Amino acid sequence: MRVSAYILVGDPNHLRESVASYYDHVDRIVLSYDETRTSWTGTPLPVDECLATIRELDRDGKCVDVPGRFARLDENPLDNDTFQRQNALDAASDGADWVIQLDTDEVMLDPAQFFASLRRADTTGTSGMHYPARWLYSRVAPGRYLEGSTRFWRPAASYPGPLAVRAGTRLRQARQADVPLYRVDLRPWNTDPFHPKKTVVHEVIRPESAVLHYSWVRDHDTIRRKFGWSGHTHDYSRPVVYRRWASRQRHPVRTVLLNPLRRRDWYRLVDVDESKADAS
Amino acid sequence: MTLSVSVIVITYARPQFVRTCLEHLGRLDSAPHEIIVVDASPDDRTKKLMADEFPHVTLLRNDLGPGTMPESRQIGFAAATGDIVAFIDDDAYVDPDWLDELRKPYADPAVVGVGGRASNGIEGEETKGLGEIGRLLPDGRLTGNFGANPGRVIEVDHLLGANMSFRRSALEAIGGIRGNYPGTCLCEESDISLRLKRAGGTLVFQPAALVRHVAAPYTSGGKRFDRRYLYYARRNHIVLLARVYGWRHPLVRRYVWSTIRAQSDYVWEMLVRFGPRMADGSRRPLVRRITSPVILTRAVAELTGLVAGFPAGWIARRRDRAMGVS
Repeated sequence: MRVSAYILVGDPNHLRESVASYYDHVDRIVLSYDETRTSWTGTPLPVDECLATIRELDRDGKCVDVPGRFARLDENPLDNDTFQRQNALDAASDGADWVIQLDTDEVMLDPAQFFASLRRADTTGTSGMHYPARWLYSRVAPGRYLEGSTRFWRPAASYPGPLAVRAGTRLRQARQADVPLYRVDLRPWNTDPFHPKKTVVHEVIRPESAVLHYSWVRDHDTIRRKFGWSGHTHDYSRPVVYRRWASRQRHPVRTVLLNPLRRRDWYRLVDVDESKADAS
Repeated sequence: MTLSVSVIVITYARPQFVRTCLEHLGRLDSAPHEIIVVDASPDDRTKKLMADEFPHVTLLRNDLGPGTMPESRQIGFAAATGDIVAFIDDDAYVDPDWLDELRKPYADPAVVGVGGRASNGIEGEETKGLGEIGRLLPDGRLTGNFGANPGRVIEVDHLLGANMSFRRSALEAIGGIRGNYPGTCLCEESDISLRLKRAGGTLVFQPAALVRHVAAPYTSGGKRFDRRYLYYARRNHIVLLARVYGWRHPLVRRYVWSTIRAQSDYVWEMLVRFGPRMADGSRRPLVRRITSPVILTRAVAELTGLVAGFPAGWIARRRDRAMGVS
């Protein structure tokens, strides 16, 4: 099974840790970035800083630059997101059976498990693999994080899209694709509150083997900028989103205890080993 | 070397379907090594049909009567001499290239079982459940979707009884086919697959090995998906998991929980039927509203079957141990 990956270059946070987590398991990594170093919403991106980081860890020469023009300011940012991903996916599909589509703030905690699941998915009739990501909302203390959970504090998977798709897949929106999916989850029943209760689970893994998504784990300045360049900027740029994030970061225990009273946005407090991040 | 294939057709009181089934088998591009019909009918219509029209086909008798499909399979298997034993239902009609396509995956020595596709004539079945063909899910449930066409050979956990085949040596190694799946005989074919899989074998689904499955009416009582069917579905499933994996395996308790969760569908359906308006906005008749709780009898059937599965599984496991069948 030949596996490639693509990454959208532009966010230096956790980039090294993310790419290093699967570097040894893939044959090729396509680096997609905007030639003008501009985001989908027209804000500047630290692309050169990111490229320098990647060059440092690309000891086997697996990374291939595929720049393009993706900052189409007359288009919806989410459409630009899909456009750039499709461009990168097409380039990564060349000579591959599967393509990993992990964002640079997503880290495989257990790459051996990820690729074992992918091998199992390959033998089935599926064309994409939904692999659980644990969604980190905020870092509240060294090694201590608020993580998305079920209402009653059980681990919950989140699925920003299939983290691996068969080569040549057409994306519908961002990483989403309308293909049969091999579903890996944290329990035998769906744990993602945003997915139907009856979603079929093919395989169960431990939370320690999931992908860790440092989604909103940023300092205050960076999170404000992220809300500006994200494909979801229309939603995230509302002031209440930032206010809530800052408040919950300040009061994590209260945030967790009040889960049962909220209709959504449930969290639990977890410890995350940061030694790897520091080392890389 | 080409592997020889024994085709076994099990039947119960449906001679008209057996005739069509055998006519299709007679039109195969490659003739099988042998064809064996195992008849459990209470009358001799099938016997007469065979003598009159298919004298070259071996006919065997299962005197145990209705609800003994696995026992019929075992009778056919014990008499078969081919390298591969293929089972098809009497209401499953093969395509001319069925046998050749079924045989291809056996080129891989790790493959111990090959199942084919069953076209049921349902619109959209080719694409429905493509990701869930023949799976044993972590919650203990089994998926079917054997009408789907993934366009390539894929690995599965279990095969469809209407169109499945096994390497004879592998089946012998696990002690043959186990009976004791009474009633509608649900899960009996999965027992074979899951045991082979547990023994380390690979099972694959070959969509190019196609049968037209016409789903003949039950002749041993009841209808498809009636309350009796629901009862035996749950009962036999517990028996299956207990026999193959043992009581302590997580799949058993997960399946219990899955079954209990699934009953909420009936409660919701009852509440919907109790509402004053139909889906199209028209007024729902009072009688329909008053009788809405009848739907809960389906939940009763399922839960009773679930409970009944425990003593039945205990007895079946004891029998298996006594007979030395893995």
